[in-house]
Amino acid sequence: MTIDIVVAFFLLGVAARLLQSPFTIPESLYKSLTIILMLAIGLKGGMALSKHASANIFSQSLWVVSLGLILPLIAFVFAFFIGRLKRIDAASLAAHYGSVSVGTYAVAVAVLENRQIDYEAYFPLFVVLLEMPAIAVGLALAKKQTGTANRSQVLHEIFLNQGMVLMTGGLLIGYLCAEQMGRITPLFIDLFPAILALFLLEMGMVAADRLRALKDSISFLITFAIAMPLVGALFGATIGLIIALSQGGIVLLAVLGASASYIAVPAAMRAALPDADHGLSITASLGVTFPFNVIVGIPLYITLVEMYL
Amino acid sequence: MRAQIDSSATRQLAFGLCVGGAMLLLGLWLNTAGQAGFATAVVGTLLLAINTLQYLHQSGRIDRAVIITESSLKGGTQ
Repeated sequence: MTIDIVVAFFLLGVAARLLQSPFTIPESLYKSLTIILMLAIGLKGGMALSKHASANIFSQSLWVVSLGLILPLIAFVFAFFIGRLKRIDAASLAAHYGSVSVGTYAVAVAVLENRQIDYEAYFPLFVVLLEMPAIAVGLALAKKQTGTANRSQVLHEIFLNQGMVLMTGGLLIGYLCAEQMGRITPLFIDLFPAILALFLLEMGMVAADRLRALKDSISFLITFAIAMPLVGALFGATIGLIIALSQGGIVLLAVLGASASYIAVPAAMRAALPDADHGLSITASLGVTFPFNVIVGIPLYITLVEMYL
Repeated sequence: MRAQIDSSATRQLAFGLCVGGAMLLLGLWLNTAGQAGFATAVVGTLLLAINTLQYLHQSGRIDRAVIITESSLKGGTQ
């Protein structure tokens, strides 16, 4: 059994926390790593977009957005009707699972590149597109009447959160300045796997902390946080097949469907639904779904796609 | 109230058994096909176990305190 080198860093983080090591990564370094990762993903996508821009990408994008609309509905049905969560908590959880995790996407890209599996290089465009629809669906499901000030705050969080600004900005810069990219590739492209490894070291420690926070209703939350990635991956792979993506592209869309947001959506939900139990959503997405996807999910999706395509 | 708790717990148990069972079968099938399905099977087994234990606990058939006490007593007699 071979463990991907970046995933090994995640396991090191988990082990350090479980063994109660006092080791920590400075908050400012973690924030810097997140910024570099998001910009790098956007820049790579923008560069690819400048080479491959076509009407086909537009129709593919519509299908990808439909994935972001379907998944929160399925997540809501599980959480509300089976988990019997309060409507507001179920809606918040649904928004998390309809959106995507940039960290999981970055791990999937690193694993595909390590295994030399080709994928559509403009995929970061889909990552950006999948950030937003789930938040809107989640808010509609919560049936929350927000005030004018609160609504503008929500819209601000949806369109101007860190992930949206950095990835959309990176996409535009990469698209418009593709010829000059050589000047910044040493940091954003060449060092990408090393930066991702450090990011995952921190995420391993955070995930271990979150798992400890799970107490009652543990079995449903864990089952939900593992079932949703499988359902999301199935829908993602199906849409990938419909829009005729490459083998690597189908894996990446499955991973995007399987992942749950733990950066952009929590911020938006905190502003829009202040009464929801945000600990529940972040614990499920970061404490269970993220490690599940990194350790079990991504290799599983690659295996299944390779077996059938 | 009791019936409502039972219905909710049964629904969650059924959900857990479906997901856990499906993952266990998927893992076993991958293993027999010569692929790496061990981790998937382990996750499926864990899901089956925690959902069953949670159901037994919620329905009052087992009590966490009793399990801990019984384990301690057994440990003490060895």
